[in-house]
Amino acid sequence: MSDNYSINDLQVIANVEFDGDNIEIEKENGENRIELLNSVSGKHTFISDAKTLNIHTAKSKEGVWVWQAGKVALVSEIKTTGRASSATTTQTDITPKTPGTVIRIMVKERDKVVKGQELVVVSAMKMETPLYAGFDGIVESVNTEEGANVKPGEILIDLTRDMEANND
Amino acid sequence: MFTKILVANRGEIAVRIMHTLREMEIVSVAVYSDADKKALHVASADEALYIGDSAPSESYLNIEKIIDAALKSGAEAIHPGYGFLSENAEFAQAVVDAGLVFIGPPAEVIATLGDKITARKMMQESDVPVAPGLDNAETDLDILKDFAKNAGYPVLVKASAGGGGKGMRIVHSEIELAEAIALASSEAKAAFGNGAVFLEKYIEKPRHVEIQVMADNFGNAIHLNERECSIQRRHQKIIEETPSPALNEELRQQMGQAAVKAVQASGYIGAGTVEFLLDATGKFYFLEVNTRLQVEHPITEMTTGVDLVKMQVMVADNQQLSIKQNQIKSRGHAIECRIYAEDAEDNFMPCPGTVLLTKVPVGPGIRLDTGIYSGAEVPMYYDPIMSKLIVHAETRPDAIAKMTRALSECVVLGVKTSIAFMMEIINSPAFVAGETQTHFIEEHFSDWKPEAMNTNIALAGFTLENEFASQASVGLEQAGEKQLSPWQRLGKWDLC
Repeated sequence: MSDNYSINDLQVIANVEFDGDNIEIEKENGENRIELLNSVSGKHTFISDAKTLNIHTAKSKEGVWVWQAGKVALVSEIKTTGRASSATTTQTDITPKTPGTVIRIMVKERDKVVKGQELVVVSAMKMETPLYAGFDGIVESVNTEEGANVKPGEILIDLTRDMEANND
Repeated sequence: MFTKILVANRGEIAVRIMHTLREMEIVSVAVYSDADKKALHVASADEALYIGDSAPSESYLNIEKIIDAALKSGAEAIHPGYGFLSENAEFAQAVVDAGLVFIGPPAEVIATLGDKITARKMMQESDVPVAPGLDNAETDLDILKDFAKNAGYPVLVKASAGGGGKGMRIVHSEIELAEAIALASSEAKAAFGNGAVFLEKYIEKPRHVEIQVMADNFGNAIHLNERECSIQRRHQKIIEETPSPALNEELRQQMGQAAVKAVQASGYIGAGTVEFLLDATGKFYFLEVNTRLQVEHPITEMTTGVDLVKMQVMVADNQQLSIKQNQIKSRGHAIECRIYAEDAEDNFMPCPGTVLLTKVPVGPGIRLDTGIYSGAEVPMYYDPIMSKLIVHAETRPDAIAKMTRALSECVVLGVKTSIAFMMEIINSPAFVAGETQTHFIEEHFSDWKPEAMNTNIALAGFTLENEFASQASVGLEQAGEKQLSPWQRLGKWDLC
């Protein structure tokens, strides 16, 4: 029985089993065995493909962060409901990419907007980032206000698709 | 000597300054805002005072609050670090007016050197080379043509009232000059309401080379050699090194002496940095003076063996420089990589957040100036610099190899960093060949994407972290999940 994993932006299907000594990973293109030597305080030492490797890991809400010699990956399991547990927002959700402060809201409830229209501007570390409508739509609700501190995952503006407009 | 000094700053520089103060047996006082209550610089100080709201204007940029804190704590002097109020003449004066010592140059000197046109004129009067340019706006085409001919093409047409690249045009030959001026002028008029333009010699692919200087109250001024800071993104330095691959000993002495002259001309006291642009023919031009300690000062410390913060404190204590110019000797090669909470794949957007796990690389010749620890917050209100990794080795190739190794062990998880990006830069053919100039990243690394981690390794990490939930795991707020019990953390065990 395989699971869906998300590794940064990559989706991988694999069956992973760990018996306390070895990790067996079965993917479409083959099998790999990793022999664990030690695991303590987020540092893990193991042998993979005859090489001794050290990785560091840490858990967060978004998934497991993995460090290997300068490379970083955020790994999470995608639950069978089809939504990634690491991300509950989709491409077109109006949500900031980094924590910041709302400095301008350009629309209000029931406004009609077009794809690419600027809706709200969030400021973080002296950089202003506008958020745009991902499709032609109507503003269903404005869920924030100027001066509010916001985080990724918070939907600042709810848009519903405008069925009468010509969408691509 | 001072018994107590307040550090009017935060993050890695505040921690670094406090290390020296502790070694000098001077009591250190930290100031902190709401966001920084649990910050490392607070934990590193002997005393800490709360100064206000997270917004810089309410805390680290608030002159009144900082001076109040100093007076309340009984500190005799204030070290401003870099950024914030370090180059604010009003602050420097206010500190003195309050009866305290400002660890830096006098307020008038900060003010004079902070005005680019005044600074430029002052340098010209002292025979410090400046980028040839017309000091005033000009409309007479013949005068402009003459200047361009004398300065040599290419030249840069610039709007007097301008900024943001508007009204700027590079001109490669006289034929293009008239049209370029007309276009730049109309663009400037449209953008700023003022079409006046002037000309400056355009320095192609310049190197940014700066000289560290130190001056005391007794007329002694020395330079401590150069730093090459050409690897920049969005005009912000990210990798610095010394010595510069572009300097030979003769050029080093010329630039060093020019920097000392600049310092003496302006009545400078304390640590400062004179920045120059170096063109491909080995000619250098004054850019500006930074009237404070620079972010990249550690590479000078590693190669010369001095403690610049200690020197600053001693100068402020009205002592003579304990070292003469002929005693300054650089040895080996040092490189610094700045570690910011930023996304190298997305135009280096700042990424505030929580550092879940961080580790310090160790070994000979490795120095990490850091303001973070496992579990620390990188707040959104301030510059996202977390740490600086500095290495020192005998030769430049050795330093590159050491930095590569150190970066690979400089674990930062929880926020994005440019560590993988910088590892690639320092091993790129252009960097290894020493071809550093200010457009390096645009030229060689625009649209960079990191190498993906081997999926087996990533999956192994995921599995092991979940199996042996580490002490670094933070805020598991998923519904119904409890912290793993010691029994679950034991791993495989048998009863027999």
